[in-house]
Amino acid sequence: MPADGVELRKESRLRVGWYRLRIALATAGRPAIRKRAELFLDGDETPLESFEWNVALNEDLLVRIPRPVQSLALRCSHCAGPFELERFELRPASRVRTMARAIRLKIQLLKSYRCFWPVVSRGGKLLLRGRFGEFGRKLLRGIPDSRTMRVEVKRAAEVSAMWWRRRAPTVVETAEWKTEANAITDPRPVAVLIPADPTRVDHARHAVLSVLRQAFPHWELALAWPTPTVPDLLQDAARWDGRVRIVPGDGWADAVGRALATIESDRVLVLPPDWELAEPALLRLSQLDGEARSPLLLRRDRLGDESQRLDAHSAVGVVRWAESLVPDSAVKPAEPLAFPLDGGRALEVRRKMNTTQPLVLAADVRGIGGWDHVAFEVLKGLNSAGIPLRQHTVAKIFPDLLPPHLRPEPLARRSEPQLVVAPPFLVKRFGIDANTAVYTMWETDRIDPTHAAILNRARVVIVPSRWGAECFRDSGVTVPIEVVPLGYDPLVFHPTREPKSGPVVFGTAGALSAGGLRKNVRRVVELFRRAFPTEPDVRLRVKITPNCPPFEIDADPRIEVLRANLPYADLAAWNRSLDAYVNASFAEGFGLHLLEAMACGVPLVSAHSSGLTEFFDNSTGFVVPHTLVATRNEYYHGRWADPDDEAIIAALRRVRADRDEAAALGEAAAARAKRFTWRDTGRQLLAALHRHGFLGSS
Amino acid sequence: MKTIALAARVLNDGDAIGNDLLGMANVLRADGVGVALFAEKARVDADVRPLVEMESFLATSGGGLILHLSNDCAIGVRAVERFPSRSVVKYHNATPPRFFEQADPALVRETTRGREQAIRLAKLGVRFWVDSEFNGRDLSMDAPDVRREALAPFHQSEALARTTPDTDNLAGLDDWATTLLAVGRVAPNKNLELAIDTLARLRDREPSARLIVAGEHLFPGYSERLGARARRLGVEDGFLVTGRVTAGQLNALYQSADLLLVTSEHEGFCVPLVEAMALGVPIAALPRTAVPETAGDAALYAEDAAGLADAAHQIVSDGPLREAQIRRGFARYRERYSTTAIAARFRSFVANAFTSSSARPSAA
Repeated sequence: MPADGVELRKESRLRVGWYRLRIALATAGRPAIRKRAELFLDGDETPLESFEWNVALNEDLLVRIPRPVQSLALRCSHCAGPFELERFELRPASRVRTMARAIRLKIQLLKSYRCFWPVVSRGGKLLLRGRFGEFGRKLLRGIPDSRTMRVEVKRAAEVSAMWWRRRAPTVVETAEWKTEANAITDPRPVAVLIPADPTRVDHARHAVLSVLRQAFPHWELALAWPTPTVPDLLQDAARWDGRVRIVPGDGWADAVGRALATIESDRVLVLPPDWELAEPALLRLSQLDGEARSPLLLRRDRLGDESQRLDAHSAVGVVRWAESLVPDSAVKPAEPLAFPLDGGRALEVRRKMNTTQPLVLAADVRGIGGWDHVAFEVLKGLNSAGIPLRQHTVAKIFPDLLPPHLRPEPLARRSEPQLVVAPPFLVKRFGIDANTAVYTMWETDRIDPTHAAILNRARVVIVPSRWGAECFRDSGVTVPIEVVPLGYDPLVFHPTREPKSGPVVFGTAGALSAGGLRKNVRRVVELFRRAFPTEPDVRLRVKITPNCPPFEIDADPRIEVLRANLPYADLAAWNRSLDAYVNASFAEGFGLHLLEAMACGVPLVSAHSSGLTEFFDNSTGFVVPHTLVATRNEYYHGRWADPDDEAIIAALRRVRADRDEAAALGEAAAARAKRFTWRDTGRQLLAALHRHGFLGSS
Repeated sequence: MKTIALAARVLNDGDAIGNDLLGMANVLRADGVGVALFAEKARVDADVRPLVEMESFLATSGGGLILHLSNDCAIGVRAVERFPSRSVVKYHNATPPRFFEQADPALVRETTRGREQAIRLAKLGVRFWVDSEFNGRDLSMDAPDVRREALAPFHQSEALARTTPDTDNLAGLDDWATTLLAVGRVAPNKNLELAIDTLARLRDREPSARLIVAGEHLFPGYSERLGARARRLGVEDGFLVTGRVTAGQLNALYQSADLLLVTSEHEGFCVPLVEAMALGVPIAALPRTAVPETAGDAALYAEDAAGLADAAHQIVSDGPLREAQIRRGFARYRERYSTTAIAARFRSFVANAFTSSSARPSAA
C-alpha cells in the first residue's frame, strides 16, 4: 500500500557551482509502478533533481547548485516496503572537469541515439557563429538524459526480467498465501475502487491486473472511468473476470458515485490509479480487518455519504479525498513482498574478430516471444564469436532490449550474406536469395507450398530437429537442409537437488488463444482430473499467458492457474517445483520450454513426436503413444500427433505411485538437456554457416 | 558419547576442511550429540573455541575428538596423543612438500610436519578416517599398521546447487566460447601448466576455447610462470584466474563450463570432482593420486596435454558421450558422495569409534 514518503535531510553548506551527485537506492520490496526520489535545496518547493525508479536507482550525474544553500533534503515517495540508501555523495566539480565530462557523456548519448554527426554539425555552426553561450547550454542540457542510455543488462534472463518489471511471486509464495487465505474461516469480501486517470490507460490496466492476481479471492473491483467511453485495452483487462466492473461516468465525482453504487461489500479500498497491489495485499488487509485494525479499508456507507462532498478534478483528487477519510493513526500493513529483480552490470565481452566479412542478421527482437528469444540468443552468440553483424533494415530490433555493444548497425542489404531467423511465413520480407541462410521451423509435418517455394531461393535452410528437416523436405524444400537444435541457458535452467516432498506436482503450460489450438492445456486439466478424481495428494500447476481468455477451474483446489509471463529465473523455479511436466501438445517446432523443464531435472509425460524427438525419449521421461491426425484449423495444415488420453492418465498415476522413478528420469532428462545449451547451438550454427560459405575463412 | 570435539588448525566456512568439519558437526547435532568446535584460526558462523583449550575440555568432559589433520597442527596432535583411545584423525592428506620447495619454504615446513605428525599418530594406533583409499595407502607406506577406514569428506555441492548463479563479475559466461574450468587455488600441485598446455592444444580445434581457473593466486612466482607459459603458447587471452569466488559465482562457473579439467599431480580427494558430478559437469582429468578413485568412470582420463585436449574435444563435440558422462557422474554422486550417503557412513563410523568396546587402549 502507498506508504508516506521518507525525507532524509543533511545540513551542509554548499556554494554555487557544479557538483557531482552520486546516489544509489535499492529496494528490498516488490517494485511498484514507480517510485520517486527527489533532491531539494533548503526551502525549495521544486526539486533540484528528481528520479523515478523501480528496483534500484544508481545515478552519477552533474548538478548545478544555483544559490548558496544550508541543507539538502532527499525525499523518497511511493516507496512502500524496505529500501536502502546505499550511496549519497555530492562533491564539488571543477568547471573544466564538468565540461569534459559533459562532452564525453553527450558524445555517448549521441552515439547511442545514432545522431552524432548531425549534432556535431549543428554544434559546429553555433561555434562558428560565436554563439558560445547557446552551445554551452545545449551541451549541458543533454547530460541528465544520459541516464536513459544505460541498458544495464547482462544476459537474456535479465533482459526478460527488465521487460517484465513487475515480477511475479514464486510458486511457493503463491501457495503459502493461498493457504493463508483459505484458512480465514469467515472471510469478509473487500471491494477495490480505482479512480482511473484517462490519460494513463496503461496504469489503470496494470492496477486492474494487480487486483486480478490477488491471493485473497473474495474481492470485487469497481474502476471509476471519468468519461463515457472506455478504451478497449481496459475492457479487455476487465473482461476476464466477473468480479471486475468498469463504471463510466461524467467526471470523477459522477463515476465514483456510480462505482460506489455497484459495490456490495461493506469494506472498500481506494487504490491510486498508478499503483498496483502486491499479490498478498488484500489478504493482509483482510487479516488486519479481522482484527479491526485496518482503517485503510473504508466503510462503503461512509464513502457513499462522503462522496456527496467529492469535488475532484483528477484521479489524484479522488485518492486525496479517500486518504482524508483515513485517520493518521491508521495501522498500515508491512510491505508483504520482498524479492528484488536481478540487477546487473553491462557485459564487456572480450571478443576476437575472426572474420572480416559481415553477416546481415534478419531477425526481429521486439518482445519476449519465442522467436524474439531465439533471435536474441543468435545475435548475442554470433557477436561473442566475433562475427561482424549488421541488422537488416527490414528487421525490427528494439534497441532498448539490447545492451549497447550488441546493437548491430543497420544495413540496406543488396547481396551481402544474411542469416534470417523467422518462421516460414515471415521470411519473404527479407528478400531471400542465394546468399541467404534461413533458420526456421514449423509445427506440423507440412509447410505451405508458397513458403517452401520462398525457402528454395535460399542457399541453405536450417531447422532445429531432424523431424523438421524431414517435414521440410517432404513439403518441397529442395535446397540443402541443416539441423541445428535450439538451446537453453544453463545458468538459469538447472536442477537444484532439492528433495521433493508433499503432494506430487504436475505442470503444463501454453497459450489458450491462437497457439492454444495446439497446446491442449485444457485437455491436460481434464486428464489430470480423470486420473485423480479424489486424490488429495496431487497438484496440477497450469501456466498460461496473460492475454489468454478466461480459464475457470470449477473450484478444484488442487489445480493452480498462473497467468503470467514469468522472468526466466522464476520460470526455472516453477519448473523445479514439478515432479513431471505434462505435454499434450499436438506438435512442437522444437519445444524449447520442454527442454528447459528437462534441464531443471523434470521428466516429461509426452508423445514422442514432432520437434521434441530431438531431445526426448523414454530414457528421459514417460512416452505416451499417439496417433497422427490431420490438423483442422485455419492456422495449420498437414498432420500432427494426437496423444493417447488413457496413456497420459496411466503415466500420471505412475508418477504418483513411484516418485523415485520420476526423479531418476528427471536426472536423466537434465543430463540429456546438457547436450542442448545455446553454446551447442552456436557451435553447430557456426559450423553450418562455415560449411555453406557464409562466414568466409576463419 | 555425549560430546565430541571437532578440531582443525584453520576452520573456514566454504573451504574443503571447513565444509567437512561443519558437515560432521551438522550430522552429530542432528543425532543429539553435543559438538564443540576448536581451531587456531576460524572464520565461520559458529562458536569456535581456541585450540589450546581442547585438552582441558577433553579432560573434563570425557568426550571424543575428531581432529582434521593435513598440515602442521601440533596442538591438536598433542591432544590426540594424550587421549588416543577417544580420538580419531580425519586425514585429509598433506600435499607433499616437494611441490612447494620453490614456491614457499614455510609451507614446506608445515606440510613436512603435518606428514610426520600423521605418521606418529598412526604408529600410536590412533584410528584414522582417510578421505580416500589413496590417502590410506599413502600413509601406510610410512605407517604400515595404521588403523584406517575411508570416509569421503562432507562438501558443499548440494548447497552450491541451490545457490543462485551469480554472473555479476563474470561477464561473458553465457557466450559461445568453449569453456574449460579448473577449480582450486593456483598452486604447484594443481599442475596448471598442463591445463594451459591442454588449452593450447584444444585451440587447434576449438579456436575460441578458454580456461577459467576458479581460485586464488597464492604463490606469485608460480602464477608468473603460468602467465609466461600462456603468453608463450599464445593463449593468454583465453586464460583467466578469477580470484576468490563466492558460492554463487562458483555455481555460475560450473553451470556454464563445458567441462571440469583436473590436471593435479597430487590430490588427497579432490572435492571439485564431486561438485562437478553433482552439478552435471563432465570431467577430463589426469589420473593421479586420488583423482581416479574419486571420479571413477565419470571422468575421461589422459596422461598428457594432447590426450586431455582430445578428451575435452570429445566432450564438447560428442553429445551422447557428454550425456553418458554426466549420467555416470550423477549416479556416482548419488551412490557415494551425496550428503545422505556420506552421513550414513559417518554415523556408522562414529558408532564404532566412540563406543567403549571398540576403543583400543594404547601406550600414551
